[in-house]
Amino acid sequence: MDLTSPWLILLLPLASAVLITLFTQRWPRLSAGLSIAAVAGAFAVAASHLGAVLHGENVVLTGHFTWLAAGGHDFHYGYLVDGLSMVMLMVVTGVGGLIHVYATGYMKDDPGYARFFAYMSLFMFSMLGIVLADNLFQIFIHWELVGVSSYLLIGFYYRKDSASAAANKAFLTNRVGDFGFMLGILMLYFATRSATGSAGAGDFQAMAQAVANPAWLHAAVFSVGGGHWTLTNEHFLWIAGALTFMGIMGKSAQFPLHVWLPDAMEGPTPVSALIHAATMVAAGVFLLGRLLFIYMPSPTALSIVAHVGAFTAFFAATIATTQFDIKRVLAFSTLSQLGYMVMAMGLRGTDAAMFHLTTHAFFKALLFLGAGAVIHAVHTNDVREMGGLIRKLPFTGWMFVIATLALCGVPPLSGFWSKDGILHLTEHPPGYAHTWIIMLLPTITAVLTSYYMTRLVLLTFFGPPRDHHRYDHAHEAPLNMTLPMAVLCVLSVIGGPLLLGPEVLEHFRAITRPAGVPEQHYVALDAETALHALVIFGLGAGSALLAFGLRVIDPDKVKAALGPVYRFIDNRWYIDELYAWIVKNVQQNVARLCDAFDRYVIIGTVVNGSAWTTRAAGSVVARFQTGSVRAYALLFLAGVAALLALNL
Amino acid sequence: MEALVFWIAAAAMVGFTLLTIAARNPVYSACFMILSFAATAALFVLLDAYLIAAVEVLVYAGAIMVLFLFVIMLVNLRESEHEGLRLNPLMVLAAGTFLALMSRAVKDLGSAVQEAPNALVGTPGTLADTLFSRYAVPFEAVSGLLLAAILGTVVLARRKEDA
Amino acid sequence: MITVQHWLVLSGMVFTLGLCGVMMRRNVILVMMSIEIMLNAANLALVAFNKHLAPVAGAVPPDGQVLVFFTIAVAAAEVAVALVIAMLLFRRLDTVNVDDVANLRW
Repeated sequence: MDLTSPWLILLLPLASAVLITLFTQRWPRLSAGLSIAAVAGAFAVAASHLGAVLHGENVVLTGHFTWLAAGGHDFHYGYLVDGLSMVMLMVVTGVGGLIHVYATGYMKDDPGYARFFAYMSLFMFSMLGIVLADNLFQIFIHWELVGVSSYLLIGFYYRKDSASAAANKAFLTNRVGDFGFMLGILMLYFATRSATGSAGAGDFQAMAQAVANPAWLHAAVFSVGGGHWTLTNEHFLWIAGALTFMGIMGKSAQFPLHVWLPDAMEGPTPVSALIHAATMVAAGVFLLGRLLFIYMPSPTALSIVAHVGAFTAFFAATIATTQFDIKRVLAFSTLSQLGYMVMAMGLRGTDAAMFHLTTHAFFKALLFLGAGAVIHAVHTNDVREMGGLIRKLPFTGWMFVIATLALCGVPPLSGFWSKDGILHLTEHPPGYAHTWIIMLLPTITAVLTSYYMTRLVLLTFFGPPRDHHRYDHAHEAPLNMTLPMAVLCVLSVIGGPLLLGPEVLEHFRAITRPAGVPEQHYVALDAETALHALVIFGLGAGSALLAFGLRVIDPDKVKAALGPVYRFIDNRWYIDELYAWIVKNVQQNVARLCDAFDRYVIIGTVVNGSAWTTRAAGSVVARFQTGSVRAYALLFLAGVAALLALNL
Repeated sequence: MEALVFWIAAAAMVGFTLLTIAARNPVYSACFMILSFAATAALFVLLDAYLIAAVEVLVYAGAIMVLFLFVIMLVNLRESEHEGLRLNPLMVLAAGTFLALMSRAVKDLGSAVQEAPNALVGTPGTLADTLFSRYAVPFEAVSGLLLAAILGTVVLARRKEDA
Repeated sequence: MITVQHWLVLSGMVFTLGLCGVMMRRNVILVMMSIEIMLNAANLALVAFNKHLAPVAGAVPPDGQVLVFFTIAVAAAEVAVALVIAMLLFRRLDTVNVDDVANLRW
């Protein structure tokens, strides 16, 4: 086999997961080595195609085989390497590899060490399958596989009730989204199929060609319940797009399906960094980019996407300001940043969204790894029991600070370039999204981001230690944990122009921008833009500094003054309570109704009814079984006579 | 001449059969049955099936009926248990209908069937030619069947305490 | 002139008599004898067909008569086994009346 074949990218992590599960469970070090080698191998294979992408080839490699052919429907499994997937490949394998190395230190002495790496490899396989997929059905399969590995990793400490509950919550919430996703996939598939007559209509390339033809849907008339429904292209696309977007909302934790992500922090911290910050949750954004050709013809669909994203960004940022769990703050921050990316997609800024996805993967992974190092040192998640840790963990502390600055968009760190690219989009939104939600909320969110991140840094690393016992026992993390952090830190700092200078960034934006997307202006490091970014940062960070650093303002007084507003935000807008209420009052009653239907109609009438009919028929027929041979002979004769009579 | 023999033999066959099924004493039934088979053998001769006629007398009238007689003697029913036909109107009706339908079916054969011009004579030679060439496999199968019947009979007839 | 119809009606009459015996006698031995009568009637029909339904030209194959051979062989086997069963019945239940043997009912 060709050593640069994209199949290897999928096969290596899968082989590692299988090997660890079946054979090397008893040797934790070997298992970790296998897992890391698989990621490194996948990274190397992906990197071998990087050159072609950078030379501006749009589609580099494709290939597939048919795994199911049934009645004129071909279902493929394959790969599609282009600019978009190349970016994701580098992020997933690169950041993923670093986090694998980090995990060898973080998970040390855990009894489930080998199991952890088996899950990680399984996750890498699933995620890379989404990235490489060349058709919607493969995406769906891997979408679910990613869901499973996420479930396994959230519930990694399965003896903890809260962990298993969080795992279930994540899985069930995603189910809701995937329901719509499946419907959307089927709509798109059958419409494309009837328009092109092609057997492999789930392929992205076939689909894009079909949509590009303005007459594509005229051939598609849907028959539902006997009636014929004809939809216009625009209506069809926004319905299909909105349904597909449900899946994206689930996986990328967009409002209102965001509830699982904060709870997912029950998993080990490397998992939070890899899956619930850097890669998996970005899968939705990636898929939006893949399917943008579906959303493009429909302003309604784009508008839905943009508004959901913008609202999620704001909504999550408000909650992040009140949390005291270091990982939860980061989780809500992730939600908020994902909102930015989704919104950018809705504003047709694929390149901006993908750019932010990449830089966000760097600094958010770094933040989580830093948080992990802190938790590793003080054995608590609660920032109220920390404080002053910068003296004990100087390296981790400064890493965390740099990542925070990157996240807040301080020039010239990477976050500045990507985030201001998105904010730039909102200043001149396209007509369909010309609302205050798009124009105003992202900027407010940026201020809030600076506020809650500065607050987190101040509470964790500065000020007097609030728990001396924990403080005294704190110690810096070992080398295999600090090294990945250092690499990520470098990337966070210079990731802005993407390592090599502005022309690479230009390339990057060109390859991640599908055909038909209007070109956006690049963010330049000029005085006006930099000032804009600094003012936003200054507002947020300044108020946090006043409250938590200099203690000029007492946070408790603010809390008391805000009263109900604070409680509303602190309780995460009561979304979880709302869902609990819905489940308790609506779903339970529907379930009762179904139960009654099942009990009385299905079981009572159909099941027991057929049994009763059979028994009744049997008791009638049994009368003929007299046991008398002579009677049988008579009946037999009557039968023969009847046959004879019939044939005469 | 041929017709005369046919009518006499046919009448004998029907009559003896009727007596067979109607006789109260089983021993009489068996005896009438032997006579019925003898009449049948005569009819076979009339149909030029000489070998079949001989086998009818040897196997049916000789061997099988002796077997029946043996069992009847072994069972040795008391006089009080003897009984004849228990006529049941429903059964008689059914049998009558059946016979009427059969006769009606036969009537339509009409001229489609006529006697073969080149007469077939069922001598041992002609039968053996067919039996041992075209019917060799069924013939062997029947020998297997007879063997199985012999074994089955022996096993069944053994008394429990012998086992 | 004796036609095939004559033979067949004769065969049918004897067959029906056998049937009546099966239906209207209660002695298991008589029931078996009636079955033999029915088989014998069928044999008669077979030989008659062999004579009258033969192809018009060429040598007549004796298929019907060969079939009678097999029928007799099967009848012999059947009688042997059935008579033993009748014997066992008599030994166990002290009866040869089929109406007393009606365990196989609902």
